[in-house]
Amino acid sequence: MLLFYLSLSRILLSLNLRVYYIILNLMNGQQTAKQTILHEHFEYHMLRVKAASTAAVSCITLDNVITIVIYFNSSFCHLNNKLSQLIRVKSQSLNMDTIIDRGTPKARNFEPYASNGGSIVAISGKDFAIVASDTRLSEGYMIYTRKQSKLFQLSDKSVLGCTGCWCDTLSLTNIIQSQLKSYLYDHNTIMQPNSIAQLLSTLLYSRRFFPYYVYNVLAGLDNNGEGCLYSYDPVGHCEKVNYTAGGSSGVLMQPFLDSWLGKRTADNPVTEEEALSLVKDAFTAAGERDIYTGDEVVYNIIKKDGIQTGVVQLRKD
Amino acid sequence: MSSIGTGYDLSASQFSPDGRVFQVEYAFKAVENSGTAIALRGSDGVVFAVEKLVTSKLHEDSTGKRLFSVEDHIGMAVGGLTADASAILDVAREEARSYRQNYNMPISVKYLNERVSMYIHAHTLYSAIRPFGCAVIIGSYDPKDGPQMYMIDPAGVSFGYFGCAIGKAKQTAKTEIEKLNLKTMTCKELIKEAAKIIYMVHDELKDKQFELELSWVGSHTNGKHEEVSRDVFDDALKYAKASLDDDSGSDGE
Amino acid sequence: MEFVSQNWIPGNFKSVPDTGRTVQIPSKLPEDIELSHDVVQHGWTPITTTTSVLGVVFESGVALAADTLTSYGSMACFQNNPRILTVNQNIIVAAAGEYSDYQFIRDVVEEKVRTEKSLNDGISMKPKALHTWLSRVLYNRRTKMKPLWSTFLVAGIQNDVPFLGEIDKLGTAFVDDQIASGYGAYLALPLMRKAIDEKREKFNSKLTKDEAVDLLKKCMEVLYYRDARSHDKYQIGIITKDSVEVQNLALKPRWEVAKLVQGYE
Repeated sequence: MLLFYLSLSRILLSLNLRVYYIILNLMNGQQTAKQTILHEHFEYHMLRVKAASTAAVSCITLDNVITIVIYFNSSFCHLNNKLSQLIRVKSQSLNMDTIIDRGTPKARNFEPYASNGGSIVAISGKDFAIVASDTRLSEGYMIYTRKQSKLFQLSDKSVLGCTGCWCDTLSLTNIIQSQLKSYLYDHNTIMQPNSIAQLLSTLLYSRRFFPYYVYNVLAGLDNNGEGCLYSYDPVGHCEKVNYTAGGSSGVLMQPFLDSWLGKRTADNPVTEEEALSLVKDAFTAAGERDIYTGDEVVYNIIKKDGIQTGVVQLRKD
Repeated sequence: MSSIGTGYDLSASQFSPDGRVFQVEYAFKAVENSGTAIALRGSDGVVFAVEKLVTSKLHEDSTGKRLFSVEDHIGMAVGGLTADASAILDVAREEARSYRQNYNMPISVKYLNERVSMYIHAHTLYSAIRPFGCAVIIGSYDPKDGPQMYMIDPAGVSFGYFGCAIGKAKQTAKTEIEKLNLKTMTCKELIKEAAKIIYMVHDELKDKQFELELSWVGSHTNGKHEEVSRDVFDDALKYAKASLDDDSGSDGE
Repeated sequence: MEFVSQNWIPGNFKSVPDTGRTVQIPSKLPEDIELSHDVVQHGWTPITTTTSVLGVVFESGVALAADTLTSYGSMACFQNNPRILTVNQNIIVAAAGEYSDYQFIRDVVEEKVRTEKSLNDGISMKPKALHTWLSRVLYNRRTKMKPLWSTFLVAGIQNDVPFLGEIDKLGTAFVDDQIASGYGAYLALPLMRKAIDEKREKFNSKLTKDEAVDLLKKCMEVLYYRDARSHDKYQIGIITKDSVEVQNLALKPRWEVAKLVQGYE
């Protein structure tokens, strides 16, 4: 993509510069201001093209210097290119200083990420941890399958919930699982959840500049047999929590959990039954509002004597 | 051996004064120590037979095979150091693979022979490397060119053959092969003769146990190189043993 | 290319391993502005493409369907390009998307099978293995930003159980009893899900082979009416525990219905 930072005062000098698309697809809330400026000072041409695949502009005003950021979508590359060339010509002839060209990417029309939906809820208690995901795998308005769990059992004491870009999920969980095997063979013991938590964070951060587009929740039983929970962002920030929700309905379910569990104290711990019913309710509610969450919920309850699994039905539309 | 102690046998890159390369000749000796392998080219295909010597009763039956497929359509029988032979087999497979990748058609056994020969030959030129202590026979069948068969020795020399033998009893085997009218015989007849020859040349006094390996490639297998079926194998074995009994019976009289 | 010293940014750590794509900043702007001397790197968009593939699991096996058309943009360019591949007695594969990428994968898979055969140990690849392998290949290529622009359906029998899985160009891989890619996901998949669900609800059983094949034929016809990149000649690949077959079929479309479509004049 091309990202140009142009000083408006310099652009104003080049009135005969034809700027395509600029007003078509404004991305933030400053449309009026910008349009006014643009109408006054530019001769613009609207080509008969769909707005969706063109350019976006944002406008930042600092004292007297106005900077316009023109953001070009990767499609319509030939037109972008023409525009960029025109701007270059102008900038060269006017001795404009800053044009940062981020270089041409290898694949202009290739988007390496997909959003495949799916949500995860996890709650930890005194002697258990519960983690649940829905089983819908989708993209856009298409449901790929209705029976894809996003839970990955890493040992008899830990389960990883992983959702987001499904191809990254597959890769990440494969790498974790093979690393855990190596650890087992090297140390003759399974890796403890806190170590897995660190490993996962390192793995995620190793792709800091081309991230795994995934939300992770690691649930397990720690050394003392207490439930533990680690929540992540896509690039490896790790936080130990008592309950969390993530994925496409994370923003819907987190406040729900907050309201029920946010003020709990150590002398009033959440029970297994309570946790399970909260998980079910969270998903039922999410299924009503989020098209990327539905079909079924699978849950794993991790306890001292094993992992108990179960399925709850959700909306299938 | 006349070469020993002369100092000319230490490297493959040095000739002796009478123009021989002793390291390569030693490689031939390695082949002559191995169990016999023969291949017969008939009117409709090529048959392979190997006397696989079993050096220990503790070995599994199927281990140490010496008949291989380079690709679907090319069979290879080997004699000599089996580890060297399997390295040659790998080279042949890679050669066949890259030919197919480049030309989108199966490699001809003629061209494969050329490439593998030159590879083996290249290992007879340098002091730093040891020549291959193995000989290989490759054979195939296709409707256009008919059956074809080549043998490559450790020097990298190769010829096309109607019948050839490598290993311990190659002389006896060749004498027996020469008695056959190969050009007119079919694979079904040849497989029995091949089995018979292996049984005939086997030296029970020196090598107690052996296993017979039989494979073929011809019009009847659709140009695919295959191990022979159980039935064919049993028939051939019966024929081989029967004719041996006849021979020893007549000797006794 | 002396941009490193010019554009040095504070906080740009030298010891952090390079995990992202390298950003190349040309030190000098191209002087030539003619569009014909475009600096854009082309490629990486599908050129010769094929449309949907369908796959459905039935009681004793799996059936795949794909037409034989390869389009060049909107031109129906090659009308007899089969894209159902018999890998071995356990697996059939169908592809959609860029045809050359399919051909590349086909050649590699065929080579794998040959290598496997020449080992002569009686072991042959199973569908789950190929499904996983393909997902790794496609994921690695997408991570290099040089994707193989293809969707693959892998069908077969593993341990006597039918298997059907999809992998898309990102490496997104999953398994289901009915899968369709491209337009098929919108037009055919609902029909397939309906047929399978009805059979399960009414008879508590899976489709029979004939029902599955009829279902695919119906779906291919539906697709032919509305998918402008589809074709009336197609193939159906059927794999069961003891048979693999690929049938060549042709639709007999009924365009009489076209005149009933009104209101667009």
